[in-house]
Amino acid sequence: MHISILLIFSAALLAVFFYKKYTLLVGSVLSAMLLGVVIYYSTLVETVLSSRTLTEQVRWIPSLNIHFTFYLDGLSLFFALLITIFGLLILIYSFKYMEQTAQSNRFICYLLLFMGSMLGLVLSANLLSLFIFWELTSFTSFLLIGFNYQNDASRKAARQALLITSGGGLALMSGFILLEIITNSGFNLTEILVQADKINGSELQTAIILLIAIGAFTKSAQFPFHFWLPNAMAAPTPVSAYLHSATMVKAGVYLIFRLNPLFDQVALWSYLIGIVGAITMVWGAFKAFQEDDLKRILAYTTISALGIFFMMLGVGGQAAINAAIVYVAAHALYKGTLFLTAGSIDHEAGTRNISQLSDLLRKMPYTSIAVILAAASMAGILPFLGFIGKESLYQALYHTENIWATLYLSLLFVAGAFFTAITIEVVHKAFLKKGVLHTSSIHEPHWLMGFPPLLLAAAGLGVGIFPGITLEPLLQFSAASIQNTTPNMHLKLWHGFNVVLLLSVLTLLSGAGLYAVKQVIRRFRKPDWLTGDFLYKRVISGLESGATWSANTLQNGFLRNYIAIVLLTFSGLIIFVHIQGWNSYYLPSDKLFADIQIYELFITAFVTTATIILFRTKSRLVVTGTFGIIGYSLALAYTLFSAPDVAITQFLAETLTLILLILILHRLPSYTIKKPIARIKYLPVALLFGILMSITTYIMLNQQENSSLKSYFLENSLSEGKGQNAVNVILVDFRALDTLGEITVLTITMIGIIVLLQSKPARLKP
Amino acid sequence: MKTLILSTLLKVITPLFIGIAIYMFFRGHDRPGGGFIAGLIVSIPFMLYSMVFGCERTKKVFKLKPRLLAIIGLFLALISGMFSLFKGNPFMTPIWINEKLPLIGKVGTPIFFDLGVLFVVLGMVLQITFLLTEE
Repeated sequence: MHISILLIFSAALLAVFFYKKYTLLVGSVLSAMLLGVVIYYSTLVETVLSSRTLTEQVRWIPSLNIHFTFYLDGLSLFFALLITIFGLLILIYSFKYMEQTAQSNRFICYLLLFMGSMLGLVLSANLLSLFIFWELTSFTSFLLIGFNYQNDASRKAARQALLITSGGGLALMSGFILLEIITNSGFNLTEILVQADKINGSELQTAIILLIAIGAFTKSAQFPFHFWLPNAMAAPTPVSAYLHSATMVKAGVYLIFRLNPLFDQVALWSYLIGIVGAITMVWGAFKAFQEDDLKRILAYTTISALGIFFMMLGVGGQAAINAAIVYVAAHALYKGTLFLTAGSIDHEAGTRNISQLSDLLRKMPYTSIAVILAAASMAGILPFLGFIGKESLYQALYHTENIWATLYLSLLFVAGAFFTAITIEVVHKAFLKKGVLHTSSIHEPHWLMGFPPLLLAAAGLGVGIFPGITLEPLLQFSAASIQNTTPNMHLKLWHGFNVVLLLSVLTLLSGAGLYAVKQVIRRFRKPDWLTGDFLYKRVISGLESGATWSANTLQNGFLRNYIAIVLLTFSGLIIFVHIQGWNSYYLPSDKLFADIQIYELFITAFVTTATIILFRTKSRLVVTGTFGIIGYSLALAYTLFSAPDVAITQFLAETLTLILLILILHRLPSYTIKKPIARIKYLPVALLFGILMSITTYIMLNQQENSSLKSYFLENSLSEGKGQNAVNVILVDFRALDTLGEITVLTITMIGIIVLLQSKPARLKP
Repeated sequence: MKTLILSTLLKVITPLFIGIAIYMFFRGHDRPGGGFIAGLIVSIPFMLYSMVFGCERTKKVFKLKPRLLAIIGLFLALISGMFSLFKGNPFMTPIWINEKLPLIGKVGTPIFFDLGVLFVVLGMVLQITFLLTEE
């Protein structure tokens, strides 16, 4: 399994470097690679159907017992097939769709990167690797939404999607860590799943459920986080079809499906997920009906469908879960088709607003057939898979004992009616009605764009007619993984005349009724300040103005201010540490000034005098000189205390600093604080810091008597580090990682200096 | 700052400083010295050169872009720690060659790490010098 993920990632590399130059060849190779992956997963169906699972492990951090573990059961295989089959079709579609785009290689690369991450997500049996793949999908989604980065709306939508989904990702990560704290299983999902009792007995249970739910809600665009998904329609259409309908937004659904066995007996889990799902379902369907842009309509219906999955999981029980997984399949097929055809229409007609479209049945017959088949499935008309899906949903809700079932059922009815109304509207306005496009010369897209949606739509019909031999075997094993039971699912197209069928028919009729009164419904608008989008914008602008304020206050351009702030912060931290650890310090009372030497007094006198001069002088030249005195005095002190390495370094650094200061002396402006007395307000800061550092040094020097580090380094320097100079051995061997960190900081500082010195700032007023 | 004394002197002290730096670098493991100090020593003559002849001429003499040198140094230090990974040891475990080489002495990955430190220090100091002496 991990090979297939690596294969897709390497395909992404291949695409970014060679797709532009050898489009046809690389395109065929990529398709062949993905086809291979699809075939590989198809062969695994047999394994899953015989109730077996596969596990693979790639060692990652053995010392922490954390690995890339991949696990294949009915649920992951179902999603893996969804991802790879859709991925292949959408890749082929994109070849033509993005043909005229300048950076099509970049696009294909991102798409494949996403595919690999998504596949990794659904196959991961380790929560940490699952999280990494989860974040990778958010990240690639960001890149894809912002693909047209010259466009302001694209950039904003990309940032919004990233902030919302990765913000939820943080919550998810916290939830995973809490799970790990309780189970202590090395983030291993299979081990966690068997410890449900331990987790549910813990006081952290509520926090875990909330955190994981937030992660799933943000990713799967559930109310109130749903608003990023319609905005994400700024992405090229293949992206909307693939990420924002068929796969990525289902990651949240997958996650709660996967974790359901842990919490399916917990009331909070069922009600939270069920109610949020129900709200999202109705609200999404309603909003979809108000939209005019085809892609935004589809986005809102996607939100609504995602709500259905969550709601059904909240209801719980075998029938509900079965219905949910059937509807996942049905939704993927019809929504994928609709998105791809929306892309084709946009590509050929130049608009995707249904009020501007017309006559498409005559102009683009094959595309129209695909749309009509898929839309019929969305409305839930016999004999499409959508019908079976809707029937199963009604059936499950009608027979369940969940106390909220009646409410859920009526809400589902409303959502279904809206779906029907949308179907009628789209088909009528864009395809049947005569209008402005009647005389235009638009035509069918290239067959590479034409066949994927047609294929998906036909699959929706074929599976609808023969559900038993096509989807049922795999779906029942997927449903079984969600609830830890034995597979039990019987899909039938025709259940006979009963209440559920009556509900179905009523849904269709109400849909037609809704369409008739749509002018009334369209007029309803929620006030702006209640929308998630509005709140999001307020939060972002609030953050921005807060950042501006703090930057202007703390970083006012005067170096002395920066230093004062840094020193005060540092002093605060030191005081905090000392208060915490004061009682544990070993402090000898008698030897503070016991063996002081006369030359030590001389050095102290040098430094003190130089500091006083520094404080009083108005000339930068004098400052430079006195700095030199202080620096060389310190080097002298190092020599006296037999630290030759430090002394040499200090001498050299001091010399270089002096030369550098002299180089820029004539460029520096005169002091902005003219009178030395005005500097007095910085005196307390300097004194505080100096005193604290002296105290700290004194404490540290006395603690070393108890420390074994010093003797360890001295004893092992030659035997372990092959050097007699312990200081250097510490630098390049024992503590080389610290040194590596330090030289990294040096390099970063250098880059900062380059930027600072090469930019030409506006001259500061003296 | 065109001074005859300094410009004449530079011709002599540049090789001298480089020589001292090489000596300091290799003796660093047993006696005071090492990459950091050597890097500072090498940078001094070039700094003076830059003061006397301006940064354009110094850049020609020095040939390498200092910022590139610093980045090369960083990578050198990083890579020197990676050799141990191939032997299954943790990152940064030193590897030493048993025989001593003439003049240089012991050879092992910490030497390359130290050389990386030298490059970073030299690159950084010269980069700043060039920026400051630029007109």
